[in-house]
Amino acid sequence: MKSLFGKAALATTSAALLLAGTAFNAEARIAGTVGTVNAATQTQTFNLVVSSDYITTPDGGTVTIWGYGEVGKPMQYPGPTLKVRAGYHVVVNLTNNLPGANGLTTPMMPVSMIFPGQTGVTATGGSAGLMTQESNGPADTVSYSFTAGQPGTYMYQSGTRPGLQVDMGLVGALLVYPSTENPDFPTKSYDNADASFDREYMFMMTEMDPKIHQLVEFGLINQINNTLTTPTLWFLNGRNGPDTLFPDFASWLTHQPYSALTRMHPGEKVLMRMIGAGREQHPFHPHGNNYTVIARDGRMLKTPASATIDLAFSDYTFDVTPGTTFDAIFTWTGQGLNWDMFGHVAGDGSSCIPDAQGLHSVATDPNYKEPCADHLKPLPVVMPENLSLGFGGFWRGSPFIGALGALPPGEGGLNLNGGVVHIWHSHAEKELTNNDIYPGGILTMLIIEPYGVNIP
Amino acid sequence: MNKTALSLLIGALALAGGSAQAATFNLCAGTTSKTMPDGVVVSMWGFALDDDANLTNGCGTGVVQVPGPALNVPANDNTLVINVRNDLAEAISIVIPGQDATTMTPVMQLDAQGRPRVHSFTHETAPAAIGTYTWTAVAPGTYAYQSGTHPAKQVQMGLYGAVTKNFVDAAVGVKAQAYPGLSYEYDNDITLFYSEVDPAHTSTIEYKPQYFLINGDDGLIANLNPTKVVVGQRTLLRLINLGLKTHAPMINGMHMEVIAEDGKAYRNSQLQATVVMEAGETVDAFITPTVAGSYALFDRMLYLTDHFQMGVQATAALNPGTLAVSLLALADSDGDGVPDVSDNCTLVKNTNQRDSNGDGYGNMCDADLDNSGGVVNSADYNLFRQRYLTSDADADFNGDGVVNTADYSIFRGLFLKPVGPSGLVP
Ligand SMILES: [Cu+2]
Repeated sequence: MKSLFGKAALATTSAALLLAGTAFNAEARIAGTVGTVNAATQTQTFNLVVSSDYITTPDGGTVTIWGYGEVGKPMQYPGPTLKVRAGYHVVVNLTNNLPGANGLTTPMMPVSMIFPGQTGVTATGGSAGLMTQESNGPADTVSYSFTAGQPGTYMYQSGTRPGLQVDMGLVGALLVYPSTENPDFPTKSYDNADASFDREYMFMMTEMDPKIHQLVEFGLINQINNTLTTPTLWFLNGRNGPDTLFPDFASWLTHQPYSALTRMHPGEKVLMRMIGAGREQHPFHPHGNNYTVIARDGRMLKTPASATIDLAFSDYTFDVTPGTTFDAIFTWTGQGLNWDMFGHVAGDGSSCIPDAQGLHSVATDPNYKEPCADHLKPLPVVMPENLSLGFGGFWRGSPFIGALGALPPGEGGLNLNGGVVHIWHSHAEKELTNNDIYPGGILTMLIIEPYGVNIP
Repeated sequence: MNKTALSLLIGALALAGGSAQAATFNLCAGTTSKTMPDGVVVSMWGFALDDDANLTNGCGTGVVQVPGPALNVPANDNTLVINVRNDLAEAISIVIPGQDATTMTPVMQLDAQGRPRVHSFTHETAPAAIGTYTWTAVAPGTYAYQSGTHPAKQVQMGLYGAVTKNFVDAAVGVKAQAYPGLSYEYDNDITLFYSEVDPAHTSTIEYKPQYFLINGDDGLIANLNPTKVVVGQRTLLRLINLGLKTHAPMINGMHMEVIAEDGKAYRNSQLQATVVMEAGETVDAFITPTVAGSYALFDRMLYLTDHFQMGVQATAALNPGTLAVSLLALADSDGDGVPDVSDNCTLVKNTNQRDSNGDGYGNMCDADLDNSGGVVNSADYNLFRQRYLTSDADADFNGDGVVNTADYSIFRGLFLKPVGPSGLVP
């Protein structure tokens, strides 16, 4: 993709690209929009509309939601991920295209946007609400503007009756990239080497109580009791598992464009941008390794007084709280498995030349980053017969990365590159369901594939 | 005598004498009722502050309130004594989780199967009796006192209140310090006390709160304590959650510097847009606005409407509801720590606000020596010349006791300009 940002930025990124070697993949970015970029005035403009439509759930159901969408594109849940560069002037023009209540032509209620974590946001147009200016209809556009502050992961949301409107779908992510980074080809999330990454993924956690959405659809807003909200649908990036595994912009998920499938090569640094955008806490939990939490609410976990004191911490489950964002770095090499996960055998021409971490150092080899201590070690157990195994869709028929074994008819088939697969999910088990049916909810997969595989 | 004033006085004496004294508060526990915005009247239990030091005659003009009176322990007092008169029909007690108590004797009762069960965390005060609860090593920080007897019921009924203590109290020329260390200095503080009401009062198992309160108030608290949030000044938010639900105050427009949890300072503070307060938790956070204006602080768990309010809002528009406050940050154009609205020289630094002629214009911006009210002119110049090298208070703009060259240069800066401007004179 051609970058909309200036040439200088591209040059910077290209240098980083060369340094990163084969680990870098220009497509390894979070789906989103940079809006209309004016590099001369350093301005990014986003034209958004709030409208009502349906999302689909994996059980075949539909739910009425309100969503933000870019003008000329479908409204979506969550709203478009706004990717901006620190120091740029950001303008968001918002228009209210909600339907009227009970046949009225004016929208059933005003809508707005707030940008927690940003300083000095000004709003013009519309009419004054409690938190900010609000749009009252299709001809009433509010313009929010601010200078993108410190780099980091932030959210935006409705500032109008958020108890209702956030549940209805009016939330989204705002990613501010360092001024030296190109949001189209980022290599780090903060102005700090500890925040550099090979790939970045977003994990926005929300939930919905379909009863509220039905009452809104039927024009019975007055009957909603917000104190008794009981969610039964849980979302990662606006999708319920297992729809989370479908690619970005899957054509049949018109209003839910964002995937949550995580793919990586061994040893790569994956930035997880976790965002609590709903109204419940979600104990998000990766399998495969701990992650290191490096930032909260768009601020690195280093003391304000001294950037030298590192407050980052290693963890494998913690609550992603409403209104909070966490950035974490995850990596996986297979170190310690105690068998050669590539299935090498003596004389096959493979080599393992350890770097300082004990990982194979030749970046052009398909077993780059292999833990050399396990090189040529045979699998320490005898593989059971297929009859003794249970299968999931991601079973590859082999204990070796990049290898595909014989699969029984009708089994497996989702893991085309023979990747190592781990489930990533909310550890509040009820959140692994869609309307009480397992599996679903806040659930996705991590797939680690060898370097020969091009990960888009 | 007002108890807080009394303890402040005792604190001052203790400072002078070099030995700490006790802060004593006299409370009455009793019944009250709150009228909710939908007209529903909910009966609650709360505390009143006695209007004299004699609890045998009740609390006099003290009114039972929820939360109970905020108890501020002077920084120099190590000991806190709460005397409570129990005007309720069942036994109560008072505990302060997080503060060391000298002796706590649990009160047991036998259940239907004859097994001992803890009924109260500490000694009880029977109905109509007066009990005393003492803490001899009160630590600085933000805490809550609450009933330690049948807390699942009595805390829900409203028997709670704030307990705060600074490491250093503010005095002339001395900033308050929340915890030991200059990094904990602050200019103003605001306590926000979160609680909930389930009008059914059924149990904690079927608990479904229908009203959400901050400082006992239901509804948006607009422009709370405006004089306590000023551009460039550091305000300490003391956040306390005595509801049974988790609340997550999120601030819009800036970050908070979170410095402490449950009355204990972090080793390193953390910048956050949202803080999480689980049931019973307290959080201390600094805010230092850089831009004047209104900042929303709202519960991101979205407990933002009472049970009936969705309908009301659909028609009557704009109430985002209950667990939200808006903090109005006042401008301080000259950065002297006195907000413009109460600054007698809004554009000249004059922290001491000296105004020798008492006309509402501070000396630093008042060279109108003949009080003509207009522009500083030659008449004022002549008066200044006459008073040069005297100790005339009005012409001594900088207040150093003598009218000299320093004052003359101030005069020249003000010459041919209108007096002021002052936030005190419209
Ligand atoms: Cu798990």
